[in-house]
Amino acid sequence: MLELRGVSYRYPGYAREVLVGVDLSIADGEIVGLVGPNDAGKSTLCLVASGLAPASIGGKLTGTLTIDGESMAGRKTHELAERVVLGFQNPNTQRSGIAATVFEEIALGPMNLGLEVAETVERTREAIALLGLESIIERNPSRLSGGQAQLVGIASLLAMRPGHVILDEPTAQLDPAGTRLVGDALRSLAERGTSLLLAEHKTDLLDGLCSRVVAIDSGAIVVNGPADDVLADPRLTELGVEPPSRVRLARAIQAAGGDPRRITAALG
Amino acid sequence: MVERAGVIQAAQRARGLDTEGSVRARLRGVMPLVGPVVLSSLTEVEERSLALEVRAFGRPGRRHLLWQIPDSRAQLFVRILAIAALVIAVGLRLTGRLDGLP
Repeated sequence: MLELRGVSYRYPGYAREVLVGVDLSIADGEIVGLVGPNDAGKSTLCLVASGLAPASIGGKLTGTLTIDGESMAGRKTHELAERVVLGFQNPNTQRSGIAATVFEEIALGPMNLGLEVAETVERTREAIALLGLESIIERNPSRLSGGQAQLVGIASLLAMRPGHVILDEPTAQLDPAGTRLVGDALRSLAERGTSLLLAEHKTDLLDGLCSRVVAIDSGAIVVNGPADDVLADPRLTELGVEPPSRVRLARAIQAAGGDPRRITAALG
Repeated sequence: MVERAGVIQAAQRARGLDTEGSVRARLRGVMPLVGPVVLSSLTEVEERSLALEVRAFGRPGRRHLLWQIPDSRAQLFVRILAIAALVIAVGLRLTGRLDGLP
């Protein structure tokens, strides 16, 4: 389990706290969605939950981050990397720049963990299969499209087989097919007991994938509950988060005087 | 950085920046690119280093290389010969027998 208790965080050189009194726990095998308007603190929450803030970027953290019952205070970044990984929104910054092929790029994480070659290759092949990247493994990672690079970035993290995965808008550059592929891969990880935190604007991805959704505004959690309830919560619209198409459709039917439940039942 | 400079230059040209003509005009056209190119590169460096840390890049200890290319017999012979030559050269130098050489 990954757990944040009473966490507030201030970036180095900043006067105000970007996160305020955050309590969040993600159980093993659970997928939690994170939504909120721009500048709400989603990316900062991802950095803090991964331990990179303050371990790498400094700043002042109050409260605790515990992973599998152990406090992460004072841990070095490579120690954190063995337990939790964070995927960034921009796939170009995730590229190592030292790998000649996509296969080597994905294998870099397991290699850094000091694994035997056979284990590294097995994990790399598994991550490649999970994200359907077989056709591009020989390609130069710097010559990929935005969507391909994003899938390679995610595969690079999954190859490390972390217990906890945090992804900051992992599908920003993906088409619907790529988004579905990522959704399936994350579901399969959760089934194996990996906990996932997914900051995402695409609420359609969160709908049906997450068991719980958390909404954040001005650095504080404002809604936290079962995904179905939160994604249909009118407060989400007030925050500027677009509800998933299922919820919008139901509202449109209701506004037109119809019964969304009958239509949902008819659609199966 | 070259790719980024190209993108920023295209964006600035779309907004009316003149990057063609005399040398002076071209130089004047380069100046508005310097700030965005340098600043965006610095910003990217921070995120790139974080992304590498996430992948245990800073972990101490041995790594097993993905591809191990074994030496052929000839390569092994040359490798041993080179090391032996180095040891002999250092030995001769220390004993003063190579003093006459430049």
